[in-house]
Amino acid sequence: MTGPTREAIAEAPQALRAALILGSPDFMRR
Amino acid sequence: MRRCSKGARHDFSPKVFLGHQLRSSGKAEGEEALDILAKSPATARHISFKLAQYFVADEPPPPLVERLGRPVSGDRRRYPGGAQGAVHQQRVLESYGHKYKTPYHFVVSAARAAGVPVNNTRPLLAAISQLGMPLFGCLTPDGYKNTEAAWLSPDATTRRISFATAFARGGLPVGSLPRTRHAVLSDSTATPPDEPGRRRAPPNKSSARP
Repeated sequence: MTGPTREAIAEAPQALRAALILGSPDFMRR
Repeated sequence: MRRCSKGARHDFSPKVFLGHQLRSSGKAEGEEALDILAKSPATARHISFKLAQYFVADEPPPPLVERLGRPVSGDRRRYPGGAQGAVHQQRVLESYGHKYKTPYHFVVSAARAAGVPVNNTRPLLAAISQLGMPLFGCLTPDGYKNTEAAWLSPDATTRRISFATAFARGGLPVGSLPRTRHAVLSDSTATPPDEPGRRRAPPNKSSARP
């Protein structure tokens, strides 16, 4: 995850941030 | 494994199973066949491959599969291929973040990551079904695939993101208690006890005390 992307997620509202994390390609792998 | 034996319809003629001559003993032939399967090296290889595929990679390295399927120092009943043995393999640690989650893994890990109390599993079960993996609903006896090729597609990704969005905004009622059949019936039939303008039904005479 790039720096600007991480910053954008950090500034997003809580629900959107959670959706971005749960829907990210990283989260789809274990 | 579920097995059925109907004595009158059983074929008592001599049989050969995986190169072994079975004794004509009716129901016990099934037990003998299972024993032969359990002792077969092919069974050990198959289970080892499945374990390695689950923990390490979709195409696990053959040496790892071979090692997991090798009996422990001459004991043909013990294999290092148990989950504990596989977990301790360095390759398992190296594979972290590579295995694509099945719908089941994805939904359960999302619920765990969210940290919300799950009192109602029905929305999660519905999500797993919508993602193509209804729980205990596999139509074929070999079970669901555990590979990226089986689950990764543009449509599946869109569905996963939709689930993530709905779950993150609290759109799935996982915290509420599930509606029971009694509750559903009560909603449509119950009469509020103190509602004005409504009369209660008279008590049943046969059950009323004199």
